[in-house]
Order: sequence, then structure tokens, then C-alpha cells
Amino acid sequence: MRNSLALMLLAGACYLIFSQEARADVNTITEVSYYEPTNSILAWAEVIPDYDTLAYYCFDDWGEVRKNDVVINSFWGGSCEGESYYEGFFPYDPAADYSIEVYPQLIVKHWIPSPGDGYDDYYNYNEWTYGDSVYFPYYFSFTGPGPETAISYNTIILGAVYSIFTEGGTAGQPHHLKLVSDTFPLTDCGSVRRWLKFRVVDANGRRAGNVRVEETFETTSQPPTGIQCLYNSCQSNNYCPPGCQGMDLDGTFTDQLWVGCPSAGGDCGFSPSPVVSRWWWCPARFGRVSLTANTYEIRHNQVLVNGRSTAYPSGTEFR
Amino acid sequence: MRAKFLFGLFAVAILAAIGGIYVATSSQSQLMQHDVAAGTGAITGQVLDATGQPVKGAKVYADRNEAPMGRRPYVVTDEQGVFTINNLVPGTYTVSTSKEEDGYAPTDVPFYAGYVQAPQVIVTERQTTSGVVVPLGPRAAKLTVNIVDAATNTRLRASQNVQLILRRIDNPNQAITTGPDLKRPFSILVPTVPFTVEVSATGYQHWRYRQVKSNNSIDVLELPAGQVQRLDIALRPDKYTGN
Repeated sequence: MRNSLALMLLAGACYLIFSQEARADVNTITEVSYYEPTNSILAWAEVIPDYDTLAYYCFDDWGEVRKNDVVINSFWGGSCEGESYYEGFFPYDPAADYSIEVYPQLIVKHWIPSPGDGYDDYYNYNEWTYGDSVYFPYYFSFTGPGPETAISYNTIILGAVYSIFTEGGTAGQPHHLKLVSDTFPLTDCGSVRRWLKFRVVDANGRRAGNVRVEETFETTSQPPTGIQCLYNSCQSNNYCPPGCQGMDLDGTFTDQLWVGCPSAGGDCGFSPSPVVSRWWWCPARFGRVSLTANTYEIRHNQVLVNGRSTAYPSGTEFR
Repeated sequence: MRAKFLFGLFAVAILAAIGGIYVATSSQSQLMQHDVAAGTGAITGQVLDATGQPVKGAKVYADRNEAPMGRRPYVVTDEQGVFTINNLVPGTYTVSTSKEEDGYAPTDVPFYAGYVQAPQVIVTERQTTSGVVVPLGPRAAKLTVNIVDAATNTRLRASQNVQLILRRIDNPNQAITTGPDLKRPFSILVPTVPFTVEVSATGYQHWRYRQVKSNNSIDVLELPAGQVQRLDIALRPDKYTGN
């Protein structure tokens, strides 16, 4: 009798799971404001999952508070039962820009037919999100079980759910690149080395989080032709870009333009030259989005970006 | 409704039956990842500071000597200073490290180096090269630079091609050039050996660091490890001097 009752309960649970669209919804509220009583800046963030989300997921969240783009505090939280929030106070500097970012990450909490809770990826969520970060908006819905069913590309774009509040608004989807720094660190063999450190930003130039990016090359002719690899005459070898990869932990990536050491010297370098380097945002199972295209001429004795051999100022936007 | 309930019962049986299959599928996925990694190798090791202590949170870069182009892959060390960099195309790699937030500059930039050597590591297909010890460089100082127009006290524009050039005195060939942020003070790590600071910008006189009341055309700056030095630089427009 007890077994029958248990079986019926299990069946009921399965009925609920199979017959309804399961939904996961996480709202993240972030704020940076002046706190008059203590003449300080209040940074505040709250992650609020809805009832359905809590039925199937726990969540972790982490975030950062930045002053003039420099991290001044990091925080972590999470819950399996309710909301998570953070608040912090910082000395007020009227000349500074403050921002706060929060990255909630859902963790599948699925009932499995054994005593206690388990962590079975019933909805193939991990398959959808493996290696990626989910991009705005911080809401998604899907229907299970089984792979590739009724998932809206408009709502699930990347992988881990996150929200950014920065400089007075919530960031939009990745749109172009903003230069963090353009540096020429001299090398031992005399070849010119150039580091372009980029951040992916939205259409308004706000940080767009940690997304996956990819570089491709194409000819400068019209229409352009794709180029799989560049030939480096300084070292008699090829460079073939590795494909789509996640960004660095701080939401940036560094594009190194360098023929390497040792080098044949003179004006040896990569060919074809000039060549168009295009950086893409490449979300999983979603079409690539071009972020920027620039012409590169990379030789032993000089490295030109869009014909420019000198460093771009930090903050330059590449579209 | 009844049909759905029966389907639920059926699902219980199916779930119970395929529980083991899911595990097997997960294992296959790992094997597939292994297959994807075919044609590549890995490097694992530890970042140590000058006293031999492991360094947590250091970035570790692997630049392939034969084709050091494109996006620079890096990983971050764990609590024990240990790192693993996977999916590396076979070749010889320069493995460097930095922890810039704590003042430790990249060890593969000669401008900062002279004390440590970034190890060279050979990566072979399907092999993990282990036991690589990557020394953290010496702690640097930091220079915070604010550049304005001397005549108007306003910030310069991107079109004015502002270049900040830092050069070591002990080896003038070791220099670093960057395009500073023109909207706010810009920070950059500097070595603890004497160096010069220059700024060039279109339409402005070339600026060189000089001490107050110095008669030299250029002076050197030397900062102890960990010190933050602010430089407020006012560039004089060419037209004000008739140049």
C-alpha cells in the first residue's frame, strides 16, 4: 500500500512536470545611489527568482562594484529558497563613476526517483548553457523533457543569466568593442608587438558582460573573401584563429598582433596584408553577430591597425 | 487528463530504467571532450612568488612562440597557485604570469623584467606537460597619469594621437608605449628601476618628465615597489610657442 502511494505521488509529480511548461525567471535589481546620511555611495543588488524557478533551481550570484572601471569590491550570494541581496557603502567621490554588476547562475535542482533531492539535468539545461553565459534579459522559459524543444532564442541567448546595471541603465546585448588599452611592449628580438585589450559593450558603450567571441579574417576586397589562416613570413608558419572562445574573467580579451621571436627581420610579416580582422559575438546555438572589423598590417617592423601605427587612446570604440 | 497521468506513470518507469543510461551519456560526453582535444596538449604547473610561496589568483598566459597571434589565452591560479591550460596546439610556449591588481606586471614584457625569466614549455599532442614553475615578477610601482591642455585645462581628444612612452634608463631599448585614457586619469604599472616618461600629441609640444626647477631636458623617475605616483601633465599647444 505504501509503495502504491509512493508510486502515485511520483506519477503525480511527473504529470506536473511533463504537462506544464516549466519556467525559470530571475529578476535582478541593481542600484548605485548617493546615501546622504553618511556621505557615501550605496551599491545594492537583489536577485529574486520566482516560484517556478525555486521549484527547479537553486542559484548562485556574484557581482562586482566598480569605481572608474576599477573593481573596489566583489560579492557572492545565492539561495535555494528565496532571494539574495547585497549592499555595500563606499566613500563618495563626486568625480568618479560607480557601477555594479550581478551575474546570477541557475543550478538545476531536479527531483529524481530516489530518496532526497538530486541534481539531474532534466531539461538539458547544462547542454544549452555549457561554457556560456546567458545574456540579457534575465528571463527564460522552456519546455521539457528532451533536447531542443520550445526554447525561445529571443529569451535564451547565451547561457548563465545575468544583469548589469551600469552608468544609469541596464546593459543591452553585445554590439561592439571598446578599447581598454593599446600597448606596444618592446620585445627581445626587436619585432613590434601590439596588444589591443578590448571589452565587449552594448550599443550605448556599456559593459555587456562575459560573452563568447571569435576572430575571423577576410580580404579587403569587395565582396570580401574569408581567409582561414594567415602566413607569417618571419617564422615561415601559419596562424589560424582558434574559433569561438569565452572571454577572460574580467570581461575583456587581449588581441595580440605580433610576428613573434625569433623573426627574420626587415618587413617580413603576415600575409595577405592588409587583412580585415573581424571579431564576432558567438552565442551558443545562435547566429554570430559582428562586433567590429578592422584592417591589420602586421610586420616585423611595424603593426598597423586601420593604417595607424601609434596607439589608440583607451576608451576608443571599435564598431 | 487520464492519458497524461498514465504518461506520468510510464515516465516514472522510463526514468528509473534510464537512470544508468544518463550516467553513461555523461561519461561519453567527457570522452567526446577528450576527442575534441585531440591534436592539442596541455600545460599544468604552479605560480610561485619570490619567497617560493604559491600565488592565488594570478593570471597565467601561454603564448605560442611559433605563432603568437590573436587572442591570448589565460587561466587563473587556484588557492595553491596551481593552473592548467588546455587545448594548446603543439609547439613551444612562453608561459608568463601577472597579478596586476596587486602590482605584479606581466613577466613576458621585457620592460618589467630583468629578474625573472618566463619558462619555455614544449607542448606535444595528447600530453600534459606538468610541473611547470612560473615565477611571479617583482612587485612594480604604479603611475597614474592625467593629461590636459595647458592653455584651456581641458582634456585632449582622440584625434590628437596622444602617446605615453615609458623607457628604462638601464636599457633604453626596453620601453612601453600606450594610448592613455583621455577622459580620466590613466594608471599603468612601472618597474622599480629608473625610467623616463614622455608624452607626444599632435599639435602639442613633446612633453618630458622633469623635476621641479630642473635644468635637464629630461629627468628620471624611480619609484619603490607598491608606490602610486600621480603625474598631472599639462601639454602646451604648439601655437603658443610658435612651433
